[in-house]
Amino acid sequence: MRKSRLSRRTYLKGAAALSGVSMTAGCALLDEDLGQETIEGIPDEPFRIAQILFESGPAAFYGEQAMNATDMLVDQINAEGGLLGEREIEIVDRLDEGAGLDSLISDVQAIAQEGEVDMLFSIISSAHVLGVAPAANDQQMPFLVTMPGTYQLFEENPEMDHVVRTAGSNASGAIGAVRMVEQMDDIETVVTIDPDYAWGHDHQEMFETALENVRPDIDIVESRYPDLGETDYSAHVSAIASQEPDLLFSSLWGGDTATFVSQGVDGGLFDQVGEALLIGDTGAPLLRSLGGDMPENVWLGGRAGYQPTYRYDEDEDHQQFVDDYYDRYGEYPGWGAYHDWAGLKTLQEGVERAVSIIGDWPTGDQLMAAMNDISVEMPHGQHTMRGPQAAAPAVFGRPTEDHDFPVDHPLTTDFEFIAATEVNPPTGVPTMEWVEEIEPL
Amino acid sequence: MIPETLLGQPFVLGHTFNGLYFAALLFFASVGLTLVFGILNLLNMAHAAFYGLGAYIAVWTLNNIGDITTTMVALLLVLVIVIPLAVFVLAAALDKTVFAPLYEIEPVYQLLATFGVILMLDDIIKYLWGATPISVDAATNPSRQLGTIDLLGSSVSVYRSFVILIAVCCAVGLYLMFVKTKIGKISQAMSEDYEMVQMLGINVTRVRVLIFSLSIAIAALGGALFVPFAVATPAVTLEYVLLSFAVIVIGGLGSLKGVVVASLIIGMVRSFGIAYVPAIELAIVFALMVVVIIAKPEGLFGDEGVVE
Repeated sequence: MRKSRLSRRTYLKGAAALSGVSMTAGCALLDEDLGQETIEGIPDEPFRIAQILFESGPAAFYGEQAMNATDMLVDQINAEGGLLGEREIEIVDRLDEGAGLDSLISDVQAIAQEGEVDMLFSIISSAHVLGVAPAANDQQMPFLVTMPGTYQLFEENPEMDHVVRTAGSNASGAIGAVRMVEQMDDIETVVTIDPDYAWGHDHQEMFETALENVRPDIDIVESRYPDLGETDYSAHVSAIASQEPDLLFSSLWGGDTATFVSQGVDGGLFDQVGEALLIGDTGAPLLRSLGGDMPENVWLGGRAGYQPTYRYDEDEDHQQFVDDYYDRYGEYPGWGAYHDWAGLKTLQEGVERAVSIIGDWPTGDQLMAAMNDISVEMPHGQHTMRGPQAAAPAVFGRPTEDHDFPVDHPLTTDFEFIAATEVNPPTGVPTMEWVEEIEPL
Repeated sequence: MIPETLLGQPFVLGHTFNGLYFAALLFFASVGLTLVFGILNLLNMAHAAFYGLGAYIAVWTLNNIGDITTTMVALLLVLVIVIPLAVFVLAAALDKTVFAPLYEIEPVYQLLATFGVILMLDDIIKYLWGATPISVDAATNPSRQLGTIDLLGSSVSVYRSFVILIAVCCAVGLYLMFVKTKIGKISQAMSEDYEMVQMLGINVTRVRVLIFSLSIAIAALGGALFVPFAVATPAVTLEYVLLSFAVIVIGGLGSLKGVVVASLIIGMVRSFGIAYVPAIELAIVFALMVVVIIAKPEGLFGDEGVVE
């Protein structure tokens, strides 16, 4: 974890030497007239976070990683004195997304009214965030969204000023996949298989629409939508294998990817397809769960470079995160862990920026404003917020058992990086409008 | 339009095989549910949770057995005998503690209480094995080790054929138990008049524990057999809770024949539905359920007793 070397005093004294970026943000803070309510100095009590994630059901796979990373990073931050080295973080509550959307909304409203929480953090489901984020915003409850990728979040709720999202939108995974296919030879037929809900349909639609533009010679011969949480893919595997597509595209994630790939290997599916592009959750825990089952003609990846092997040697910060996580939990961090790492880094930077500008601890809306347009260093380079929304690059790698890490399951290697500018719409342009106009590189 | 590749003989054979395999899994997951209701009058929503538990125990056992043996016969015996037997003992203990009070309450409360058992087992599984999907290592995975054979141009999994065979043996064994053995005949009599059997001086509690534990052990057997060809995830329990209720609604509550027939219907409908109309395969299954409920509310064989 990168340590904050800057004390509160340094910030207060150094206000005159703000960077250009911070000046811009400062103007934004002032322009938006957010500074009327103030918090004097730095409060003594901890910064209280309520974390929202799946603790039950199939998606607890993701929630567990996020919870682990948050616990570990909060401990590390607090060991250095907390945010700015002076204010500790406390996870005061955890809301289980397994309880359903209605329950979450009512819990968030109650939390906001009680006033015992400074910020909501995490959340996994795209379906949930579309309900919970506007509800939090209505209550002026700051909410740092870390995992859902739905592009509709800010496009359908452009007025939200108490919500930021540090995860890239699902466009980066889908369009990143299209950019990968664009460079592939010998691809004429494609079969897609995606989970039967918004995540899967959005990915398939973006992939198909953009692919028609950049490679009109490629034919998507079939699209399949198994249910979320499917446990028997054998019929899908047989049907896809019989088509012998040159490429298999999928946004299945978590346990669904594991089950599908495992049964695909058993059914000889990967001998019948040329290449497979898996863009759902494809982190290290997935590879661990599959053991030696991962075939070699597969590209794993999607939004952001959240694989422990990606720039591990080059990025000291990343190396530290991976090693600390492994030492503490005995496995490598998955995407859920990385997403919350990006969230906590952004929180730290946001607090530093806000205090450097206003000289006092920020109010909730000031903190959210300070996180707009901020950048933090992640394994894939600068992870940049465009307004309240991160624009992530796409990174894909090949699974291999030939690595130096102390685990006997495959990890990813031979990475392909596609810049955020290539896989995200320009600021202000609706995602699907942009996707429909995508041109070949 | 259906592509030509989806009409060929190997394709149809492949999906028939997939349908039979899925029917076998459904049978394991739901036969105990229907027996416990038919004989003991307990609507145990948590039944399929033991299917998930069997899956997790099997992954753990197979992944730790490599130092002792990798012999195929031993691996299969672990799945077919050892794990169900262990769960049988666990179920007997649970029947006398957790489930005993539930036999006396209204079905709606049984549903609520046993739903609580699902949540309890779900958390225990997560506590023991985490939420990350886990799979059987290739070296001790019977599915991977047994491979496939060519059958009329179709590649057929030897292990999955074995699972289908075990399901057939299980169904025949249960039938013979109910019609040929004393305990089976007592069980049938209990399904018709529990109090009468009690008044005859028969230790109905012992029979109850036996039937309940056997039912749960069969669910665990299904989970154990399922997992070498799949991955253990918390989703397993949820999916099979839903599907097992679809099976007993279509087949008829309390009917062994109903479970066999309904499992085959759902297995085949789902397999060919995925092949030809993947977008609505599950809708077809549940539409079928609705049709049965309208046409024959007691299910296809719901008024015929356990084995008639």
